[in-house]
Amino acid sequence: MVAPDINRRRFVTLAAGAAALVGAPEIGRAAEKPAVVRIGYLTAARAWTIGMTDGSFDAALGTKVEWVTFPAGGPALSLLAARQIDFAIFGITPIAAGLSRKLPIEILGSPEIVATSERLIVKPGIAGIKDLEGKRIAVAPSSTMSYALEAVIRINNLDSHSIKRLPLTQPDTIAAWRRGDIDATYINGPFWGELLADGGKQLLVSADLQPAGIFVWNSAVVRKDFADGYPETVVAWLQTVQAQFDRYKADPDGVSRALAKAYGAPFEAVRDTLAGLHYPSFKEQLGPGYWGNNVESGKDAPMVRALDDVAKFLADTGEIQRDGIPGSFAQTVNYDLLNKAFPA
Amino acid sequence: MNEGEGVRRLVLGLVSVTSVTVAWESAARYGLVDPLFLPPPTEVLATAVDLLRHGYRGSPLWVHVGLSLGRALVAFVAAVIVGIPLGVMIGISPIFAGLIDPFVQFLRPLPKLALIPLVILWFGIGEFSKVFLIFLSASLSIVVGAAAAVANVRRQQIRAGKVLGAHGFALFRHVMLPQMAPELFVAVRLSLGIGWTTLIAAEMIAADAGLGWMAVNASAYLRTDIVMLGIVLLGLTGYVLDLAIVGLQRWVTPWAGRS
Repeated sequence: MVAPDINRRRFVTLAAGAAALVGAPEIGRAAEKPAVVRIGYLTAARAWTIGMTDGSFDAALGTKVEWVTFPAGGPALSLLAARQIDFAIFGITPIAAGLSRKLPIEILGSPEIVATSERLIVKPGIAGIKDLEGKRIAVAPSSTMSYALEAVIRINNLDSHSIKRLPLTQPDTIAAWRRGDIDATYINGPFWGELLADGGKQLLVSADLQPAGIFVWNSAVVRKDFADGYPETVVAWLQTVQAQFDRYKADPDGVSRALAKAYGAPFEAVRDTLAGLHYPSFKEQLGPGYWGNNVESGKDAPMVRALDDVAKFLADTGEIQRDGIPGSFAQTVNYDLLNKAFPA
Repeated sequence: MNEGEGVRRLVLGLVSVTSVTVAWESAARYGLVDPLFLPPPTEVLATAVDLLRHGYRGSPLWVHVGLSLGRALVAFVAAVIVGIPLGVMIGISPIFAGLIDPFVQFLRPLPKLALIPLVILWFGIGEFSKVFLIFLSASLSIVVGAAAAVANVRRQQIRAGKVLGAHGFALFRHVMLPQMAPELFVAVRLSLGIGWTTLIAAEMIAADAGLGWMAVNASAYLRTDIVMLGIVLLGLTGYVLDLAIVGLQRWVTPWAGRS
């Protein structure tokens, strides 16, 4: 997910400035509550942020909650590095990059799995995957979509060099599509709605890549020293996040309508985008199908392995340094607090 | 500036740059600053060597520098060709000034990032859009500078020229231009800086190479070492361009500042 670049630049600048100013970390004594909890969230509507609109988090955490928005995962990394946010939920591509840069954060599961919310949309002339060779494909830079696009190319043994990838934000992608400057795009909702209405054809969705072991998801993360200082708050936060997803599952339309109002977005767009994600409960996530329930059983868990694939992909493309990739991403997951929040 | 003064400034400059670099390195060495926030010069240097050897995202480092330089120079030359005559015309003709000036003043302070969506719709996502954005900010600044240069030509000298029989182009060429030239160079020099700062905005338009793109892209992955390298290279290249303009100015208008 990437929104206009103006925001992104502003955030990066702010975060860098703040990073220079904020020196010492706040040292919290365990079991005490922090004076304020700062939660980062994507500018787009997400089911769990229903708890932002009605103060659920303030009530559950029993402390002041500040909400900090970021337009994409890259700026989220800067905010975490600059200690401007304590929690956030965003895409695995930037998270893998951050962990490989020794950013002191811990993974708290994968509450949002991308299923149909991100899609490969093509112009009518393109009949199948093989036709993508020699074409121009727009994709938001440093996004989960750019990872998925590379996976499509790799899995289908397409001639990678013949495909021109154009790094464009979603609004710019729509402009380029209208002008006929691109032949296809891997894009998230609600943006694909506009392209489908404009004669675009859906070639595949990210869920179609899962049989090949390609998972794309958003993870919850916490700053490590926050988790060390306030474990109880992290547990309460996780349970509150789960409660919001439960609310959504119980009443998708109602929650979508409330979020549409809060974000000033059309109801249908919010409903369809949220329906394009799959929401395993944290309890499920602690099973062998996702993360396993401790560092040992996590080593071969699908999500840990998928995260390793993402990091290797980023190293292959030259975005990160290979020697920075953690030995096992299971070590970057805080199983203790996840188990404490959702005991078996 | 005499020779002794020049040498003194060079020495002072070297001393100051060296001390800042040493302070920067020691801050990271002794753990005063997290290297994630401020990668030490040695790490930036190591990154530079790595990128020189292996390139960044499929393009060698010199291609990134060359592409950005090429985009900026093409835009800059076009800006000089369009901007100076336009500015001079605004300076000479009050009617023309009244017609054009509102647009110039409206567009000049506009953050060029805000124009990206429109530029993409109008001109697409190719090289032209990138160059156009740089051209726009550089040329507007030249126009304003050139108009001011005309306004500063002393009326007395124009009158004297007319009395001595100079009219039309001859008046412009022999009376106005020699007086305006030093100021025109200042305008050109300023606009080069402004054009260069627009590079990052320009390279946000579907670029996959270039110094500005490199710095922005690396920041999305927290590669602060590459961000820092990009900043250093952007600064150094801008500095070299500025020196080139100053050199050109001394050569073309040796009379500047001696009247």
